[in-house]
Amino acid sequence: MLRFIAGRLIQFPLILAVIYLTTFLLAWVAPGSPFERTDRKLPPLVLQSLKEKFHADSAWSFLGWYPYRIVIHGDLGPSLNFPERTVNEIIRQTLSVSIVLGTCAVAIAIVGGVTIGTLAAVRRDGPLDWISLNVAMIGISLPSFVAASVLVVIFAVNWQLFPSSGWPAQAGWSSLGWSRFVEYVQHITLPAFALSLLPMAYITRLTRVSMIDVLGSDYVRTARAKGLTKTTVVWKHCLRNAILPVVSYIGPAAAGAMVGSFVIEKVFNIPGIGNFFVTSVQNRDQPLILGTVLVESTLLLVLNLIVDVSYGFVDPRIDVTTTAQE
Amino acid sequence: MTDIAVPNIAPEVEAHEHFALEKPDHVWRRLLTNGRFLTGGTMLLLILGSCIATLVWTGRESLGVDEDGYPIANPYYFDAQDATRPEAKPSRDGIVYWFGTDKLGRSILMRCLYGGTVSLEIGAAAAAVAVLLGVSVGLVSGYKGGWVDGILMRFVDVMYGLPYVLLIILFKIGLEEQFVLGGWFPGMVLALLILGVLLATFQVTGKLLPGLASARWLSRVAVAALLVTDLCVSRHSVILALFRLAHVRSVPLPPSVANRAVLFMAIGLVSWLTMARVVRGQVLSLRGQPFIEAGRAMGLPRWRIFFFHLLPNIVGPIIVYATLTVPQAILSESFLSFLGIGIQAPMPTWGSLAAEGLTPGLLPNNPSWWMLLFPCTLLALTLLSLNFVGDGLRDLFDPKRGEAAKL
Repeated sequence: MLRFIAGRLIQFPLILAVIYLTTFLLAWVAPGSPFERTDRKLPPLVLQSLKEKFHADSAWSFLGWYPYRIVIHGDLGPSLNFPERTVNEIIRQTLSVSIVLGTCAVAIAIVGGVTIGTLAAVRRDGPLDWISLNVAMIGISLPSFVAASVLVVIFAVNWQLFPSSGWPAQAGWSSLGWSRFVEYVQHITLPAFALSLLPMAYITRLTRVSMIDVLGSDYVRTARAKGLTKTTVVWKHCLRNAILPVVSYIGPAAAGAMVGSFVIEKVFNIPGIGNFFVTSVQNRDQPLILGTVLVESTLLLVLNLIVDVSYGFVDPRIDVTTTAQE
Repeated sequence: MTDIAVPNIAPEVEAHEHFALEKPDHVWRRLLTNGRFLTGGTMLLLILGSCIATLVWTGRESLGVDEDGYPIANPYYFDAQDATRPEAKPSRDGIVYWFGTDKLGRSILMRCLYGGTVSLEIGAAAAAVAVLLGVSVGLVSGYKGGWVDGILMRFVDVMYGLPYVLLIILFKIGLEEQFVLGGWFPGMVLALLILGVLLATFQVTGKLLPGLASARWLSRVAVAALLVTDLCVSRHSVILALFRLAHVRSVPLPPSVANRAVLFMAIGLVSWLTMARVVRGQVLSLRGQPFIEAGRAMGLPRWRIFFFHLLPNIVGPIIVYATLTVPQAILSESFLSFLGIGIQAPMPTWGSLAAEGLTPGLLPNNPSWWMLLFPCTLLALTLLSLNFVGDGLRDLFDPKRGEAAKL
């Protein structure tokens, strides 16, 4: 197992390098830069020195100087659009917000999706099954900003249970406490729920399908004949076998929820990494684009690795170390 | 699975493995008894039909010229503004006001109808790109195997790893100006094509000179490195200079056309990945089958095997995934429009209409709910019916999974 993890970890820099190159090519080949966007046309000499200051004067600075800074110093450089902040600062401040939000959303999605999917599979063809199928379909079909705005109108505007937007201000560890926790819960509930709808729909479908498969197998009948209660059989024996497709879906879903939440972040006005990513692309802020893409890809790679490793814990019969080659 | 069940499922498993189409009447009977497919199909036809049929009215700015030579305004035009009734509630004062009006007094119904054609156009374009690119990459990758498969699939992996929004936005921002100004983008494409041709030539010369494997690889790497370095020093690039000399530049396009074309391309270019993986998997399982081997033994050319023997056997999954690509593309467009980088302003899409309706809809004292409700309902209904149709088709082509899943 250790060898497997090490082998995958060795691949990381290679894949990241390819992703860096691709992003670099896309970001660099696309014309227009923040220097050229200003209303007044800058004198060429000033432009040149500005570009030199931000190391944006040629493609080589991004192929030579920039990777060197990232690898040796872990420094992603200055942001072109937010001159007071470096890319490192921006990522440090926003990534935690996105990770907290994404984790909550995925947790809601897993708990809700697995429960609904299992219940639907157990009471197959019943009303609950029908409802779960169609709710899952709607969850897949409804754009998340629509779901989010409906949630806001109902819970924040009409019933005033939660704040309609915003995020608790950044504060040190000293201010941790019950009121702070409540504040976080209040701010996180609506966006996390809106963000969890799509993965929940997929997880419901996946759980239901594999659960139906598992419920038809012989050992279930044996376990029931032995006198185990239905609850034990379904929730302890079957679920463990049926959850595998869900596990493999969780990796990309969690990565998507953590970094692809820009729409939800925009609706709820949350300072997450997704918003910065989108604005950086729009403003052609090359260092910020490269930084966010690298962070996001690393996150995706790590999550996929965790998922691959956790296969072995969910189902001890699976040996990733050998099947990964095929 | 018990032994008794085997004879029952055996024919289905076979059908599943070969994805062979049954007799036409069987296909239709199976489809027409599938409730979800029927519901989805009817709904889709209704929405699609009404959007396209009304294009005659919603797409025309003026109804001709009156006797004084002034154009007669068309009240049904999607951009026709009625300044006397901004943000009017839905009312029965005439078909224009059925769904209410927006801030500029434009009819929501007409905008929804016209926007529907744009949204569906995007879906269709994405599906077309997904089929063309995904199927060809999947076919080649699965059939050739080896290093070709390795390179193509790693490429797909990397594309999966990159956030798709980045790809779409960068494509859009990067290429749109090129299209409007008539930039060097086609030169870039041509350069890539030349690279491909060169690599193919090396492959052929390698076949002719079997003893020089290492030399072949060296030259390949050298040429690739040369080309990449050449393109990186964009200002002094030899290749680009050649294209500049030859005046290979794209024709300048009007901004609205360029906007649409680039969005089609961008969404299409990220939607072929799943298709490539699926087709590759199918081809991998078909490649070892006796009938392909027989074809190869008979000395059939590769294109014949591709088009007449492999392709007909994987039509099923291709149709299914093409259908499922359409809602995804429409959804991505709506996200982009919501962020303000989708189709540009006067041209409506369901996504941009929903985004427009969102801000006033959230204010408790002035809830213009109709601006949000109607585009969202149409969008959700269309996506729902497309998913229903896709799932119905999957049941048809993949009966084993369909039986087990009913999804």
